Parts: sequence; structure tokens; C-alpha cells
Amino acid sequence: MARKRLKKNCGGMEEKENMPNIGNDDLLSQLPDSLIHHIFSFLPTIYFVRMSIISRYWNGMWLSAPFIYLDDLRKFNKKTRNRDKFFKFVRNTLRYRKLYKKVPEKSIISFKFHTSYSFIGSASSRLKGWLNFVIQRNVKELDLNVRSYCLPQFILNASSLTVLKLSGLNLEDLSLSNFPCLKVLSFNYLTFDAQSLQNVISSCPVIEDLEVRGRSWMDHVDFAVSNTLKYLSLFAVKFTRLWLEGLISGLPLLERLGLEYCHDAINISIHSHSLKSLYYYGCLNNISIHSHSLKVLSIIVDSSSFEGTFIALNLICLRLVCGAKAVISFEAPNLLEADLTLHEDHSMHPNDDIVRFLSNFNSMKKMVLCICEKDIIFSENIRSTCAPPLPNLKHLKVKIKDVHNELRKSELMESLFWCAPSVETPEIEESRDY
Amino acid sequence: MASSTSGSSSSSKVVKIRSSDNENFEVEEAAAARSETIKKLLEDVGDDADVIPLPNVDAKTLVKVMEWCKKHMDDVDELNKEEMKTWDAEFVDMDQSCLYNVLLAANFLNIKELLDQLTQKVADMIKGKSPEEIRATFNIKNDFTPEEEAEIRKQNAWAFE
Repeated sequence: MARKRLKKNCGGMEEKENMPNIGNDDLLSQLPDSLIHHIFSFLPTIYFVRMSIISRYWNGMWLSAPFIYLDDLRKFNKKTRNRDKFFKFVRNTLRYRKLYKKVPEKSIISFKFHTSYSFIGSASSRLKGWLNFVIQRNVKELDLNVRSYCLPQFILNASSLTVLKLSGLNLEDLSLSNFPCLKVLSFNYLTFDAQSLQNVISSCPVIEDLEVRGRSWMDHVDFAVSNTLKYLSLFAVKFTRLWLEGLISGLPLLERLGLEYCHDAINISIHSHSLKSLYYYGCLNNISIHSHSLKVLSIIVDSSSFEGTFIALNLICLRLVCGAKAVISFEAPNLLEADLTLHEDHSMHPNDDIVRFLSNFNSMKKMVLCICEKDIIFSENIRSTCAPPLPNLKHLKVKIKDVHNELRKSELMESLFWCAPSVETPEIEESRDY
Repeated sequence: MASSTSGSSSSSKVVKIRSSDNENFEVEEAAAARSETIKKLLEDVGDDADVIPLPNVDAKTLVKVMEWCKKHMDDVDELNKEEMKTWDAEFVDMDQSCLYNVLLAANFLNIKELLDQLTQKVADMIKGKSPEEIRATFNIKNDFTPEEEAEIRKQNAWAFE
């Protein structure tokens, strides 16, 4: 016992000076509070509460953290499968925060609540009470992931919010809301009607970042948004071409646009003087982009062919996943690097298409090409009749996908030397992802 | 490998910085400017800046931080996203004392993305561990008396059910 106590007395800061062996120091406890809070903000609050029994220093430290992050205990502890235990944990967490008087009442900046339990019936009013608690403390960032929970109207009048992220909830029959400071708004897999969505979005005069993810591509969107918007991301929602084009032309600050699985967005024309990056994923017939500000373009197309016109003088980064039948025209003099992935070519004369496709990129200096082995081994016939498609390329990395047998390395090298004669040593990698 | 040769041409200007133990370093301005603190100092002193002193960061740590800044010089490096992820994961995989020094430096130099990566790394070291395992991982001494510990455990029982 005496020995133990002695050891205890020379712990902490003193030990650091006496023992150069840094491996024995408790450095975590010496970090400033702001960094400790930063670390624990990535973890459900339960970790922070449990730290209380570790040492005197950590005891009760969680109470002054500016965030509360409540996650299903199911993910945390397999033994805890009981909804009542989760409720009890939430209740206690909020109760202790309420009783703790050393920090000002308005000290909860961020509240995150993620659960796979459903909150209907009496449970619904409990959740309402919890939300009311944090809203009254003027919470700034609210992140809720609760299946089928109807968003109460008072959340929509929480004027202190700067970030609102909602997943899985019901957003229906909502009247107007008031978010004078809201900058980030994210709707994921919500059940919503177009009018409620419009009501919320139109009440954010300074919004910068908007993400709408539908549950199916039948979710119709048709909203107007403040011209302060910088980042827009639409996922699995339905809209008209005219609406999207009108929306984009009314956003002079838009820097980043992402469109994913928007099934109606098969013909798109984008004109923008502010757009810096564009991400597209889905079916596509025709895309035309006219933007001198665009730097990064990433297009992943499911369909075997599409037509694309890109007039983008400042484009420096291109990623394209498509079939070799794609018809592309470029006006992008600063584009020197490309990352291309070609779908397997099933046509009768696959080499023809691929040579023609690669010729589009004849000014490139550097390329990563992911392709099927058979598609990149060009026949004798092609090599004697066509010009090499990539004459200016200096660096080439080829990822061969779908490798079943031994790689035909020598044939492959011969073909690549013909295809890109200025490349000294092409890198070849076997890739098992598609 | 990929980004260093293709960095934008406007960024070849070099700035000098000095560590707390008086070692001088020459760094490309675009890399050094990943630090909001250095960026602001550069703006304040303008072109007549000689050496920027960084009194809170030692040479060993500064080398590490600048290694990260160089790698992350082009923030639109979409092409090499996966390569960057692997690189970042390897970068934060360092011994604890080094990790905290870089963490404190990233905080002082105000490099948000690096700070996020490092704090996330520490969070990952905590995740899934019992209090006893956390004590062992971070060398935290239990300074409760047995009576105190029993009391604290009782008080927090609701978090252990």
C-alpha cells in the first residue's frame, strides 16, 4: 500500500522531467481542454462519461464539453440491446448536464443524436423533451438520425442553428421556418413533400452548403435557394432539367456541385462562372459544361455511351468512368492529367473504339488508366493502320481489372509502347475492383 | 510522387521559418501557407520578411508538419484521393509523444485538416476500449483511493449498463 502511494505522489508533471523515457508519460491528460474536446467530439459521449473512472483528472470532465453525441449503445456494446437502457443513458446524460452549474447554460454547441430505435408513440414525446432541452440552450449544430420521427415545429424556429443535419425523419406538412444563421443544411433519406422542403430551404438567407438525398428517385424537388449557396449536392431526387439549369444560373457563388443517381438528369447543360468542382454519378446521355472557373471534373457514367462537351479553360483535374463508345470533345488546354476507367467493351471490334476514345486525350502528359486486359492489347492490324492515340504521354499507370489468369505481361507491354510511345516505363498494376 | 512534380507553377516562392531550437528551414510558400498562422504572419510582414520565428515548435516536429504541408499543397488533388488517404494513414501512425507534439504544433499553426486527422487518430485509439485498456494505452495513472474509486464507479454506473 505504501509503495503504491509513493508512486502516485511522483506522478503527473514531475515524472515528465525526471524520466526522459517518454513512453511512460501520460501525455493525453496534459493536452489543453480544447484539444481533448476536439478528440472526444469524434466519439459518442459515452466514452467521455466512462473516462470519469480513469483518474481524478478525467472525473466529470465530460460535463463541460461543448457537445453531446448520443449514439445507439448497440454499436458500442453488444450486451446492450435494450431500448430502455439507451433511454436511461440519454436521460442521465442530459440530467447531469442540467445539474452541472460550472459552465453557462448555453454551452452546448453541438448535439448529435443517432439511433436505430424508432421513436413513435410515447417515445416520441420523450425525444421531443430532449430536443427541447438542447434547443433552449441555443444549440448551434444539430444532427439527428432517427427513423420515421416527425420533426417538431419548434426545431424549425430554432434561430440559433448554424448547422442542421437530418436523416431518416419525416418532414411533412411543415409551415414556414426561421433560420437566419443557418449555413449548412443536410437532408438524408427523409420522407418529405416538395412544399415542406421548399419552406425550410427558403428560410435560410445565408445558407452555404445544401445536401438533399432522397430515399428513392421519385422524391420530387423544386425549390429556390439563397444566392449565398457555395456547395450543392443532390442525390436520388427527381427534378426537371429546366429547374436545375435555372437554379445554377441563379447561384453566382456556387463552387461545388454534386449530382448522384438523379435519374432524370440525363441531359444536362451547365454554365457557371464560379463552379470549381463538379461531381456526377449516374446515367447520362448528354452533358455540356461551359465554365472557365472549373478545376476538378469527376464523371462516373453507368451507361455504355454518352456525349460530353467540356469547355473549361482552367480544368486541371479529370476523372472519367465510362464506356469506350463515349463521344467527348474538350477545350481544356490546362488539363494535363487524367484518371480514366473504361467499362469492359463488348463490341465486335473493341480496339477501334478504345483507340478512338483514347485519342481524345492525346494532349495529356500523365494518365492513370483502369481497363480490361483484352481491351488494351491492340491487334497487329490496329497498330499498323492507326496512329498511336497517346503520343504526348510521359507517365502512364495501367490498372488491369478483372484479372482471372496470369497477366499477359509481354503482350501488354508491347501494346502500351505502341499506344504511348513517349512513356519510358509504363506501370502495370492488377486491380480487383471494378 | 504524383503531386510534387505537377504542383502549380505560381507556388515556387520560398519562405524561411525558424524552429524554437533555432533551426532554419526553407519551405515553398504554398506549403507553409497551409498553416493559417504562418499565412497571416506572411501577410502582416509582406515581402520584407526575413525569417518567420515559430517559438512553439521544435525542429523535429516542424519537419513532420512541413512534410504534411508539402503533400497537401494542392488542395484540389482529386486524382490521387486514395493515394492521399493511404499516405495520411501512414503519416499519423507515429509514436505517442511524436503524435502529441505534432498535434500541439498543428493547433498552434492552425492547420485545420491536419488537426482533424490527428485528433481523429487519438479518438480511434480510444474507440472500443474499456477504461482499463485506455489507462494502459495512454499510461494514465489511477490516482483514486479504493474508496473513491468505488464511489465514482457507483456514481457512473448508468454509463456502464
